[in-house]
Formats: sequence, C-alpha cells, structure tokens
Amino acid sequence: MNPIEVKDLNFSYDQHLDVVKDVSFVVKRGSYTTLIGHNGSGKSTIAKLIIGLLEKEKGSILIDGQELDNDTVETIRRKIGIVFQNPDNQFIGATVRDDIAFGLENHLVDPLDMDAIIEKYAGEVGMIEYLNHEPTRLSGGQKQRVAIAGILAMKPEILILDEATSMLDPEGKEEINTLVTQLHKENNMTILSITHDVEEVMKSDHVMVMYEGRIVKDGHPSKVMLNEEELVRLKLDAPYSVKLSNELTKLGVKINKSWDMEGMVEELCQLLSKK
Amino acid sequence: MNNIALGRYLPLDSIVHKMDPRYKLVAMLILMVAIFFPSGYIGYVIIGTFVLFSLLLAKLNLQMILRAMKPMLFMLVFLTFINTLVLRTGYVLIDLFGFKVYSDAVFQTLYITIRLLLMIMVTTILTASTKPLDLTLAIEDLFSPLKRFGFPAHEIAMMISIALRFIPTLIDETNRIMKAQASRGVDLKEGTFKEKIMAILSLIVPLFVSSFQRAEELADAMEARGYIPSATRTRYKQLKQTPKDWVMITSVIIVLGSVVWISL
Amino acid sequence: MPIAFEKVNYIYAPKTPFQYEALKCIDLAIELNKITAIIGPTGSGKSTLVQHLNALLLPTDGTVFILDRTLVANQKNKDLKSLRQKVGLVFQFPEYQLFEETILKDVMFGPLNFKVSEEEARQKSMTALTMVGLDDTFYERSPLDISGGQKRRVAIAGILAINPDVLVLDEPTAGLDPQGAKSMMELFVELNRKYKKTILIVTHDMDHVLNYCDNVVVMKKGEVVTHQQVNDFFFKGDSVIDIEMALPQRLRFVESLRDKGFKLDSKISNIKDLALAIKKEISHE
Repeated sequence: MNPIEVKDLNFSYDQHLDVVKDVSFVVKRGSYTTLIGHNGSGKSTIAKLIIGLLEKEKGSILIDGQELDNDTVETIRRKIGIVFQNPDNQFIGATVRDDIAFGLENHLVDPLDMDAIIEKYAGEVGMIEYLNHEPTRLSGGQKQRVAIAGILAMKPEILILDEATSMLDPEGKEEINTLVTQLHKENNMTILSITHDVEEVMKSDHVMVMYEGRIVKDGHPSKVMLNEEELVRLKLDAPYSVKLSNELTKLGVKINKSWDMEGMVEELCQLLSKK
Repeated sequence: MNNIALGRYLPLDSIVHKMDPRYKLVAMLILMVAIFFPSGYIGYVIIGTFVLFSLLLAKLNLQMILRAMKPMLFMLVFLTFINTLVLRTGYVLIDLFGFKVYSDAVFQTLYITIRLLLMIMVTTILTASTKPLDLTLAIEDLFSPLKRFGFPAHEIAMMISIALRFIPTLIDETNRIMKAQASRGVDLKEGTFKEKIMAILSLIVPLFVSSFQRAEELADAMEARGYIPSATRTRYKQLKQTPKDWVMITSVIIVLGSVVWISL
Repeated sequence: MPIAFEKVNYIYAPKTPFQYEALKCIDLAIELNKITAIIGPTGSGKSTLVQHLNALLLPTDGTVFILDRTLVANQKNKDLKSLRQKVGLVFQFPEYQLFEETILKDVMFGPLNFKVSEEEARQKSMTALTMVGLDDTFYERSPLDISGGQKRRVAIAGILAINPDVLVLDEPTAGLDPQGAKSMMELFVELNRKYKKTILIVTHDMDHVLNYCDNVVVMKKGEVVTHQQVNDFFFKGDSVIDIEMALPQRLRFVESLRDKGFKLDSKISNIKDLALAIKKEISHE
C-alpha cells in the first residue's frame, strides 16, 4: 500500500480556471519525493487537496489505501504532517511549548503527559533551549523547526513540505533541509516536498514536474531533469551541472553517468587522466 | 511584549500574582458590585481598606493608580462643575459672593470620585497581577458551564489567545508598512485632507489584506493539525486553586455582605 | 554628491532594557552609478544600514551623506521627504504595500505624493510597469488579484515611477522562482547601464552577486568587514578567497576541478568559457 496515491485529480477555484487537471501519481513509502513547477502550476493546491483543506472535484486520493472523503479526513490528517510556507502564520501558541501542545490538545492527549512529549520532540528538532520563547524572538528557521516538532509529536508517517524554506534565509534553509534529510533517513518518513529549489530536486529520489496544472514529468531526477531546453520551456531552471554538461556535450565532451557536481567532477578527472 | 492591552501586566513576585486567576476575576466582579451599593462612609471605608490591603499585597503602589486616574481628571472637574450648579439640596457649605454651594453637590461628587478610584484600583490589581493569557484561561473555565446552552466559551478563549499572540506581530507589521509607504512619499504630518485620507488608507488596507490572508493560512494550519472548534479537546495549561484562593474569596464575600447589610 | 557613512552608529531602543547596537562605527562610501551588493548573515545590520539611505532611520552617532543632503546625528533634519524621491527603497516582500483600487493607481501613488501632475504620474507609471514586464492589460486590474510574483513587480514599479537616482532593494528576489529572479536582476542591470541609476541590493544569493554586481559590501555583527569590487572579492590573485558564505555555483565547480588537477583560471566568467577550458584541458593532455 502506498502512502499517497492520487488518480485523475481535478480541481478549480471558481469554475473557470482549472488549477489541477487530471493529475495522477504515486508516492512510495520511505521515498523523498519532490514536486516542482512554475509559480501557479498548481503544486501548493495539490498539497491542500491531499490533506483535505480543499475539496476535489473529480478523482480519488488514497492515503495508505484509505479514500479521502468527509468521513475519513480526520483520521487521515493524523497520518500526515504539513509544514506551510509562512513561519509566522502557522505558529499558534504564545510560546514554543504552547505551540507544540496545540496539536496534542487536539488529539486529546492527557495534559499530565504533555510536558514529557513536548520536551522530547523539541529536543529532536534542537529547540529545547527555546521552549519558553515567544515567536517574535525566533528566526524563521527556528519557527519552522517548531512546526516540525509539533508534527512529529503526532507521529505521522508522511511529511509534506509546502515550500517550507522559500521564506527563509540561507541559514534557515540549511537548518530545515538537514533536519528533513535526517527525518527521512533515520525515522524512515515518507517526504513530499513542494519546492522551487532545483538543487533539492537533484538530491531527492523521485521528482514530479507540474506545468499549468498537469504533471508532465515523473521519475528519477537523473532521468527527468536532464533536458535543459525542455526545463526552460516548463519555466524552470536547470541545475548548474546539467547546464555545464550540455555545454560540454556541444563541444564533444560527453558526461555519461552523473548529473550532480561531485559525480561530474569525478568523471571529468577520469577523462583527464585517460588522455 | 505580550502586556499591551488589558491594562499592563507587571511581572512582580507577589502572593496576589500567584493566585488562581479565576478567583481573582470573580473577586473583582464581586467587589465591583459592592462598590455600587449605597453604603455610605462606613461601607467605603470597609471596601477601601480591603482594596488598599490587596494593592499592597500585590506589591503595587498608589502612584500607579493616581496615574491611571489622570485621564479622568478633566471629567471629574467637569462633573464637579455641573453638580455644583445643578444640585441645590442639603445645607449650604460655601457662600461665594452670593453664589451658594450646597452640601449634596459636594458629597455626591465625592462619592463618585471615591467609587471611580476604587474601581480603578480593583481592575488594576487584577490586570497588573494576572497575565492576559491566564485571564483568558480563567474566562474559558468560568464560562464553560454555559457550553451546554450553546455559549462558545472555548472558541472565545481561543480567539482571545490567538489575538494576544499576534499583537506583537501586528505591531511589527504596521511599522513595516508605515516605512514602506513613507518610502513612497507618505507623510502623515503634511498634506491636504484628501492626501491624509489616502495616507491612512495606504496603511490600513495592506494591514487588513495581510490580516485576512494570515487568518486563512492560520485556519488551514490549525485544521491540518486536527483542530475542530466544537470537538472535545484537552488543555495543556491547568489552573490550580489553593487554600489562599479560598481565603481571599471568603474575605471578599464578607466585604460584600457587610456592605449590603449596612445599606439596608 | 556622495553616498557615504562616517562613523555611524545606530542603537535601537536606546535607554531601555531592549537596547541594541545594530551599527557600530560604520565608515563606508558607495560608488555612484554602480551596482553594489550588501551581504552578510541575518542580524548583521544590512537592513538597518540601508534604511539610513532614505532617512527612515537617522544615525544615533556620526554622519550620513546622501547625494546633496547631510544627516547628522542629534540634529534636526527637515524635509526628509524630498530625499525619498531621490533614493527609492524597496523592502523585502514589498507585495504587502499594494492597496489601491487598480494597479495603475497604485503605481501612481508614489509620484503623486511627490507633487507630480496626474498626467505625468500616469505616464511615469505606465513606463514603470512596462519596465517590469507588465503590459496594459494589467492597468485596470486590482493589485490584490494577481500572482505573488506579479505583485512584487507592481510594487517595484511603484518605486520606479518616482524615478529615483538611487535604488535600494532589500532581497528583491526572495521567494521568486528562478526565472522570475533572473528577469528581475536583468532589470536592475538595465536600470544601471541604460538609465545610470546607482543600485544597492541586499542579498543572500552569491550567484547574483557574482553575475550582476560591480561591488560588494560584507557586513557582520553591525560592522563592515569588507568593501571591494566583486572580482577582487571572489578572486585573490589566482585562487578564490575562502569566504564564509556559500560560493556561487560556477566558482564551486571551478575550485573542485582545480583541486583535482585541472589548470583552470579562476576568473572564468561564464559557463561556455568554463566548458571550453575543460575541453581544452582534456584534449591537450
């Protein structure tokens, strides 16, 4: 059973602009899947549809084999944690402690057990010294870490990141990317990351490209992200290594196996020592 | 700085600060009722003594109270003036070149002033010794028996606590918008009436727009985390009463009792 | 007509428990008619620094020279508004400042505040909107009804319409998709080369600094650590300076290859030249 299975999904905001058209995809268990697309391609809408914040018009969404509808939405929400883009607009509590507690309160956790849970997950995201801080004293990256702690406390299997780093500075982006990679590797979480960052896509193990409401490419980044011209047509930027690889190919130097910087550098060295 | 609005919370270390906010809130309401009973001097002496004692217990001082009275000063002077002209009963206290000031006028004004003073003292003790969020919890707890009649105690408390959480954020945002519009030439000090209206609009509209967007995103985040307003939920923060609270509420009830007895 | 800081200090909330020295003894002269990047970690004072340029903040100590104005600490500085016509400042995420009924009216708001006639304001606004790539179909639409990237462009047009000589932008490309970011940076280059505007950009993107800027100012903890030409900053002699921030991608590739034995000139300025140089190495060996 796949954590997320979407079939023929359709959605539009006010009946004239189709935001999501005939979208079908599968996210495999334990994978790090990225969803990339130009602004307005429908990627954030997909996240909201999966978690039931928006109601689909057509198609089906299966979470762990269970169909998402009005009756199942509450149970399904326990299985998915979602981090949104704006760190301030998802921070509900007056302090870090209170914010992590919010989710626990919703799920009827005994107040006497809450302190231990809060401290455990604050520790996992590195925010234990900040438990009594108010959000105005935290950086964007720190607020996003608190959001993740709140999610982890519910022990979901799936983590969706809806452009969770696009409003952060480089330090904050690094913090979150490291944390998510750790969660993926150590906790075996299934990650679906909606992103602009081509470099992040190259590090994932499954990428889906959206263009004007449809999924136009779906597969491993090493196969999907290689055609620079096509990516530009899809209003995306190609990774630097891909651009360089294309330039080299034009000059007769063929890079076969790699598509990331380290791999390319290795291959080029081999070519250098061969001659 | 979550101590804007609701008077000012002063983070001091007093017995009153540590008391259960529910009891403090109820005590305040009882005292307010007591203040309005026509109990004459003795009544006010009883109430006044109790209130002064509480004030000192809360490590507050009279200076603060007098400062809080300042905005009322104008009104009190005006009131004195009106009363002197209108109330012409009782015996004559002062005779100024034929203009007579009657006792009832003086005493009425005095009563009103004392009542005002006591009201301000009581509310100040409450707000200075209780964090706004704790007051919100108290309100939620006190009103929750009404839930069975459909009164949205929890929802109101949630709204208040979210509002409190966002006050500093909104202040920051207002500053940012003001600076951005100042960079576009907005100058609130000069300009024609129309220009000033546009200037104010340029501040209010963005604030409203971003607030609505914020509300929508916040609601999404809350829903995604399993929040359902009408459903049962537990609460992290629990209020604990102690014997001190019982003693306090009993004393307040005694004060009310004496005042009512005197008035009869 | 310089743009300079002389021993400038700025303290937030002085004499309160929240007192914080954001700028410490800044001595800095910005070259006119060039594009200068201002970089540094969050909290280094970049935003505080640029807010002095249009007198949103006045120095607690020291003097700020901006074009024909001199702002001295602790002195009464009058008529700051005229300065804001010459120095246009665009904050981070400026989409939030839009408020008018239509996009055209919103862009006209700026020039109208500076006592420009309505007809002239309209002309300038239309020109500004064209510069940011929004055509006449946008004029009558509501500014709240368009995408985030488009709102960003309307906000920038709003400052361009004022026609400042100096343009200061705080992270103008933050949150934009790669192509949006690219066209924005190209617009700034055009404003500098064609319209001779002095441009200051606060940014975190080292690729942008390398590819589009002439000078760079590095800030850390309220002080200016370096102020150099971009070329001198990234290349010292023949090897790349070891800077604390992440290197632009091109330079990272070059340095990795050099580390493995490739003899490449660090100063290769674009991807095609890099490819050629790599090919040369491989074929000639």
